[in-house]
Amino acid sequence: MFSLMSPSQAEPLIAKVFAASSKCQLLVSEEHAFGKRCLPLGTVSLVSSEPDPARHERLVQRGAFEWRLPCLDETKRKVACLLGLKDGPDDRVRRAMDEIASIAARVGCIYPRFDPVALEEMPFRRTTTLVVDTSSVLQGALDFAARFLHPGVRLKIPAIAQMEIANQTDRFLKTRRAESRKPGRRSYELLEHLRSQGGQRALLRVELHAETEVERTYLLGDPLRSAFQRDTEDDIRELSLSVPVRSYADRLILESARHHQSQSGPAHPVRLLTADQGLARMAMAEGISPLFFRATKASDIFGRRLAGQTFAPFSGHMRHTPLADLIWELATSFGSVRIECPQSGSFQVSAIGEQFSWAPYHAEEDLLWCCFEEPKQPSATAPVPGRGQPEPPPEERRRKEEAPEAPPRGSPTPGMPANRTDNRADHEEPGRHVARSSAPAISYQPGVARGAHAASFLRLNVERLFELACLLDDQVEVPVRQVEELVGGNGSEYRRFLRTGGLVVLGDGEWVAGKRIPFLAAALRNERVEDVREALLEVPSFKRFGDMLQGLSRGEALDGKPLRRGLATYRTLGEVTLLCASVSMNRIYATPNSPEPEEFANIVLRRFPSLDRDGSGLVATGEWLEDLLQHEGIHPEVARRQLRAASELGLLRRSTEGSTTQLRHRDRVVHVLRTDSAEPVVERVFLYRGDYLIPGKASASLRIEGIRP
Amino acid sequence: MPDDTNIQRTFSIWREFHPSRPLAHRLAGEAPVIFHTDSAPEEDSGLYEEIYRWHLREDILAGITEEGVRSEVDDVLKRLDAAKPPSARQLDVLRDFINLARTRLNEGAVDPVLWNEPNADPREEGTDAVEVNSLLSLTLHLEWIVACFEGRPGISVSVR
Repeated sequence: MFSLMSPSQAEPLIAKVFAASSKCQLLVSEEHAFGKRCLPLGTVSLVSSEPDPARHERLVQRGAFEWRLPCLDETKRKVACLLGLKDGPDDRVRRAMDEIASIAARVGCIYPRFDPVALEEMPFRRTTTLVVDTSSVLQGALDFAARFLHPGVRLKIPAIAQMEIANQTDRFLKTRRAESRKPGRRSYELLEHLRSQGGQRALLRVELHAETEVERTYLLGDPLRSAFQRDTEDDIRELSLSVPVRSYADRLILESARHHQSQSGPAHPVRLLTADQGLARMAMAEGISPLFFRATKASDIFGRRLAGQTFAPFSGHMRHTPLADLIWELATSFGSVRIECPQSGSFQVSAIGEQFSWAPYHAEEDLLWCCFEEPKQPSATAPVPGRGQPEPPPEERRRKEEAPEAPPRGSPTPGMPANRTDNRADHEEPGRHVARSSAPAISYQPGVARGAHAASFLRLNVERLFELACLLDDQVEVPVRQVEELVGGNGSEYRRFLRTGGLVVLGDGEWVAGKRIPFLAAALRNERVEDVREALLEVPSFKRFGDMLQGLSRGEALDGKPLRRGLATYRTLGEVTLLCASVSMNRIYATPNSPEPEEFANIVLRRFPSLDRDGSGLVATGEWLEDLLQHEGIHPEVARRQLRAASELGLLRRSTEGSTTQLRHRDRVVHVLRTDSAEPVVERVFLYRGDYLIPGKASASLRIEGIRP
Repeated sequence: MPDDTNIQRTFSIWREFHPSRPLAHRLAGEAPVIFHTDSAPEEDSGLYEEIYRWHLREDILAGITEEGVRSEVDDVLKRLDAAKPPSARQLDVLRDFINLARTRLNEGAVDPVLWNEPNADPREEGTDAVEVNSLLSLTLHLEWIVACFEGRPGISVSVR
């Protein structure tokens, strides 16, 4: 349940998260750009020599924390994944990382890197007026001046700087409300969110909370000229966004400084605070001395340890940034932030969201929406440790979790041939062995759980399984609660599946990614089906399924009874990894045959006439795919790919006829791996719909002819 | 102005000073030394101005538990003794200190220490002491100083 809180009201709850451990995870989320997933931003630990929860609130208040940030490359990669960028981090991601560094600068964990001449003049001996530009507001220089140079400086914020941030807010909100969720749009939204909301908060902070004198200036613009023009980016053209005319906006900021200089006494210095080199040069050329600082970069914070306690730059006094200030800044800049410890709960702060309202008093009192969640309790049916029944030791508990779901009597055991394979030779026609060369070598790997129990069949949602693998890759350590939210249950079967394959290690209240998770996740995100198969065959139950398929002769359907409730799961996994495909739920065929285009063309040209029963030269696409599946062991995905390749090589000619989408045989589907925004999805393909074989063509009938040399 | 009664160390950044007019410096009983304005900027004029000063009011190394590490860190700071020539007190020494401090921090050789209220900024509220990882805070501050002053010619550092 979310409620409005100020940072000081939230401090007891933040301290509560540290009750069980002095180290907590920090996660941020932009609900539209990241979907419902979070970006880990490292860990926060309290600086404490003794684990005394009674003092935690005091430590939180006094900034006695260390923030360890993950390395930059890894974070960029994760952001790109969250944004669905297939080609990795783009320029917007890089700029977004710089904006994250600006958050640390605004709250005072790092200071802007001033020009040495500017720094040696600080703190000013005479009262000085600082005219700030937009970069100063966004990159923490305005906050620095308010904290350490006040009251020796008077701050002037030109109207155009406010307008630029207001324009950024407008761009962010328009993008947020747009229906399109293309990856490019999502990265744009993240960047505008970080800039606009962080900038607005900085302006409000100095206006409402800092003991700083802030003056406003006139716009000083030419009424016939606009400081903003239409954005020309292709990605966002339809949103009618505008961007500032940079040189004119800079000119207006400089005009503000000149205007103030003309009204001040000759001995009163007026300085321009900026990270913009062009503006600094222009100011110098016109007699205004810049107070220049270098732009804040992502490398200033990522891969480093930052502290909530820093030294004041000129006095040497220790100063502190309360942890709540950092959390509030992150929440405003991203939308949501969560600090969590699996044993003691989590505390989430949100600044924006469909269910959250806003009113001016929220800003005046610095109120954001907060929610503390207790750690997950054991289920009501489970015995509560310490209440009559002793808690079993962890190893025993783990063994129970992986509980023996005994394979049915007569079913094959891992490493042993399936019963049906004993008679395989009796059914096989001489010279008609299905090519097995493309089938992966299946072997158990050391360090992976073995045994009949490990190989028992499970029931899972395959798409959720893939999402979980990617989540583990993104976060490495995923709290149990997050896993449960993702899979919609207690996740025991997912745990058993991944753990037996060495893909996950159970930590203390969290799932930790196994060594092969990056390989699997990369394969899933790049639709590398062969690699997905290789990784999943480490899982004993899937390997056992693979063994069963390998034991089938051509044209022989799999007996699904041993799979019991896991039939749909393993059928889908098998289809996605090209190990099998089905004509219907009860008839699953192995698909080990992956011929080259030449061989494929020969097979197709040999088999096609037998399907053309009425002599029209046309065959239903689904019928053709099913024929190749049953009689040649060719997966529909392979058939689709090789049909295109053979056509492009001039080995055959394909065409379609009929414009009505075939609605018969709706149950004839095959599951295939696709990606959406660089995230794996399991798609159901209807074999009898023509658009599967030839995209854009709904024709249900196919004609294939040989091409005479 | 800072209260100087508790100052333990003072970090100063110095820059070579080239006077715009000749300067004379006379010690009692000796002929005055004249500093000319015609020395080239790249030449060391022998005059230095302090362009940044920063005080530490408590033992910054108190949190270092091992004596060996403590003396190792202290030795690097001693390389910035004002008695040494400016050429030996470059920003590189601060970089060495930062690298060493980072290594020791990562090794867990530093414990939090209680900092007393006199060190707190008088403008901030709160009265009782709180734990501080003083070496980490110092390292972050020195990194900022290095980032600001690096590249500027004629810079030297001293710790007194």
